[in-house]
Amino acid sequence: MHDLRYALRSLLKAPGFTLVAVLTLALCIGANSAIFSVVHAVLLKPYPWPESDRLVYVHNTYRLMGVDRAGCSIPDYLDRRGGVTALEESALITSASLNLAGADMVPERVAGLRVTPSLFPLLRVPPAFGRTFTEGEAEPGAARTVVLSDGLWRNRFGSDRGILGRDIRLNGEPHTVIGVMPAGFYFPSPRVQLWIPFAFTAEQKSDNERGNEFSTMVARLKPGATIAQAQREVDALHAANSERLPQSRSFWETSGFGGLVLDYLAENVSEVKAMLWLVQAGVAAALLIGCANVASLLLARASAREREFAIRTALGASRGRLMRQLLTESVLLFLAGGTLGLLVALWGLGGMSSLGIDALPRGTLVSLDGTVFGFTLLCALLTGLGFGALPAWTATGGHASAALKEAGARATSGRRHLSLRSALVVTEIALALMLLATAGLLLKSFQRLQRVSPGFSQEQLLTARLALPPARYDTPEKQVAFHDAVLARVAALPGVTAAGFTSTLPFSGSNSQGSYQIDGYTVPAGQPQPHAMVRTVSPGFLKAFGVSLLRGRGFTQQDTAGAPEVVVIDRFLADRYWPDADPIGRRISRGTIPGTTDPRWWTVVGVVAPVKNSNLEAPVTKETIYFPYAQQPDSLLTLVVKTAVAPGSLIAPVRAAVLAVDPEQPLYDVRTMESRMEEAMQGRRTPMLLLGLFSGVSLLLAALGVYGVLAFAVGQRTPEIGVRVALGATRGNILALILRQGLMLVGLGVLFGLAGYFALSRILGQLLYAVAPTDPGTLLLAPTVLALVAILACLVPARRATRVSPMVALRS
Amino acid sequence: MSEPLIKLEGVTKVFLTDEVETHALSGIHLEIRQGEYVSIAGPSGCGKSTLLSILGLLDSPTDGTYVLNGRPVQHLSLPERARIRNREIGFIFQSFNLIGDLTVYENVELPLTYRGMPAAERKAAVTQALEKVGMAHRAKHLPSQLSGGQQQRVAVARALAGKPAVLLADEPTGNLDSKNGDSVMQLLAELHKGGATIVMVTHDSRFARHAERTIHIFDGRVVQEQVESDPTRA
Repeated sequence: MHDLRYALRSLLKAPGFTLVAVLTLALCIGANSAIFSVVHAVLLKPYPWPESDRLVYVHNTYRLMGVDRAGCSIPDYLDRRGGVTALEESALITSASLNLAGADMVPERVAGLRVTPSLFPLLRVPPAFGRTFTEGEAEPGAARTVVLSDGLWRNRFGSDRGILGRDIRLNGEPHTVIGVMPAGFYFPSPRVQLWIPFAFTAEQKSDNERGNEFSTMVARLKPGATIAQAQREVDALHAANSERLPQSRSFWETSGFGGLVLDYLAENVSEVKAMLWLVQAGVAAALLIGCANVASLLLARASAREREFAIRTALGASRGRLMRQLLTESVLLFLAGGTLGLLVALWGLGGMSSLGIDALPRGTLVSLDGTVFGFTLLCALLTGLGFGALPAWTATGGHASAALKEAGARATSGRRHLSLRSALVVTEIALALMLLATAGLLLKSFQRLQRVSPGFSQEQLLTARLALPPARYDTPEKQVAFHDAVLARVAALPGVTAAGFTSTLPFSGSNSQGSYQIDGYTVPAGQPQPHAMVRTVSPGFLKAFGVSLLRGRGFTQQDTAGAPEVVVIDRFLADRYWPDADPIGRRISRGTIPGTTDPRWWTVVGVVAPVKNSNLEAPVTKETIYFPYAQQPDSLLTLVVKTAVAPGSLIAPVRAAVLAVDPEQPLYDVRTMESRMEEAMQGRRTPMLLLGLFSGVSLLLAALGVYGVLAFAVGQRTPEIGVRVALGATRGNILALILRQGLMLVGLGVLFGLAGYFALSRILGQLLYAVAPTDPGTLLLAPTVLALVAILACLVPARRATRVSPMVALRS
Repeated sequence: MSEPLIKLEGVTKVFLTDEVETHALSGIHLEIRQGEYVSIAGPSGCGKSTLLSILGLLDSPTDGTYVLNGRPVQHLSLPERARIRNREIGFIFQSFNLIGDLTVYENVELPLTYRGMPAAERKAAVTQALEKVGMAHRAKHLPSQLSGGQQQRVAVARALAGKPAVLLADEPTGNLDSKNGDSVMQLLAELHKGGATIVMVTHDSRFARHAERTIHIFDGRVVQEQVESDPTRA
């Protein structure tokens, strides 16, 4: 307590030092807490379901066709649910975008999930009230039921407990509310607001359904069971199926078909994991730099207090006692920094939200919770003890008698402190350089990625989704008529230059792919059957989306249900299968003629440029086939509107055009294509911006470190400078003397920084696009920028040294 | 009679602190000839060190003229003053003021490097200076490895190495015991015999008597000039 009181008094006695140290620490610890809150929420925090670490995905995979994860078909799910003993419980889920409407309600699009009744027992979360689904409710023809999220129940139904047993209208059909989940519960993300039963028809349960993988299987491992064990059992099931179904065996073998058991959390965050850890490492480096600066200040302070410690030693204080007192001071300082750091973190989280943290997987769960508070406290304590120990040990290590003799001893201890401070500054520069080079490379990589053409024009493009309820749009004709009517109205709006529909919008997180055959092409033995990304699009889509037509034609209003069936392919497919021939007029087959088992043949009428679907970095490795929506109707389409005016200004007119066709049909997920692309790039953009920010702060802190050490050195060397001036040194000689000392530190720091960077560059290489981690431009620029800033920092004390009066210096 | 090496006429030095004028020197007239050994004596705070600083071009007079080697030097630019300090003046300080991180050799070499002297010439000059003070065998040592007397010998060698016109010694024995102090005074006497011009500040009358002439200063004024009949008798 005495130490604490003394430490407090000592810190208050030096308000300038205390303020600078606490602010530096608050900035660095706060940044660490803010980033840790993201790392914790996204990568580390378990899901809010008991023992969620035992949750796994069981995907299908077509390894040899380049499709690593392909969802799960219903028969595969049923096989695995009954046949994999390592799994305690399994569920199959599929997204269900639903129109929530009613007589007294404005139609609203809500994100729902179609789930097998086993999902809630699997998650081990009971409803807040009511119940979840019974197996009987997931039978075709059973009464329609729904379970609501706490948020939907509160916001749309006014927290009315009487909602149980009442009907709500989803896609125009009444559904009875049977339960409401507790507050804080979500699955799979907080965006999903209701769950409805996933019913399987007899056909869907049959082997014919294999390959139809629109759903996702999640499961819980039995206690003690491992992913490897489950994987072995899944593999054994596929081997048995392969024996049982010889007609599929060949395709399964050539496509590398199988099951893939993956950790649920790790899989969900796999894309951002490396980048987030990199940012955490970056901000930790910034913290070390900040701490080194504070330790340097503590050393300077200790140097000035050497006589005080000598007197205390002379009065009988042991070294341990003195160290305890100094450590109390530094821990107090770091704790104050940590406390203020929490405010910085709170502010930082707001800032990071605007940088797009919310768009990361589980990004909406980021908050300053108990774990983050604990992390901050630990950070402050450990850095306080670690970086306080060095100055404390040094300050208390001198000989009391020598220290009491003043000048001579001061020079010696000053030199000792200067060496330590120099070592700290070299470390700071090395870390700052590593950060600067990393941020520079990420920036260059991002710029190169931004220059990559996705194969379409994203400018002036408004996009919005439409999901037609099957109850009211139960025939292809009705669906086509609706879409035609909407297109006619939207295309006529002032400011619209083109409009179209597509079943799959690139960079929207969705995809659709399947096998097809080519007329006259025999698949070589051991090779997989042709497999393509498939799209259903309207006439006008290719123009509106800016996809270049390379040969032939796009779809027209004449490509109707009764007309000859046609497709447009991309150049990837054309080059792959008809490298030396004109693909126009060739035929491909996909699906069967309705009501028969005869293959359905489609004639190629056009070739377009390849379009990237979800990843700007990777080259196009799979062909795309476009089907006309009149011949292959779909009830879930995305409207694409090319505009001559700001796309945002057309949201209301487009919405009105849709409602004019069907007043109950909501338009949802209305966004510009540019914002979708930005979101798709968020995983790179946000960490890059954060690392850029931290490297800037680190650069500043390292420059302050260099300045501090040189200013201290000039103070220490004042008598020496006086002697040199007396012996005839000019101002230039003195300036060079001090600059040389600073440049030596900078040079050493750069050397160590480059060595450290090269040691870690292999990891960074995985996160870069079209830039080598050893990119000479960046690796030249980063040390140059650092050296220039450091030289500027050196100049101030160096110039001060040239103004040292030899008279004063020689008398000091 | 030839021109004096050093000639001060009406040199005044006024320090301004907190709007208070302190007259450190008031109208000093002084002439020192080539080969003279002059001591400046007086109580603490009388202005001896200020006078030595002005003589060494470390400070400028507020008023008056200072002619060194026939050239007025009171209004020279800083680089020019540095050049003259380096070539024509050798300093010997009370606290030796050797640079701790440099070896004995490097300390003696330092003023010659500022002069831009070629390495071979520097080596010869340093060796000669060290031999003259009997410290050549300690050339590779650091100052901290030497006794106080030895450090002052090295400081004398540093002052001598550039063959300056005048040696300015500020209480050269102040930090030494009597034995080492005597030894250093003996060294200065030998240098003087060899033709060196020496101006020494001291408050110790015992050492002041080593000089041929002693100038007594009090309150910034020359109050007495005393010529020693036999400077070696001390």
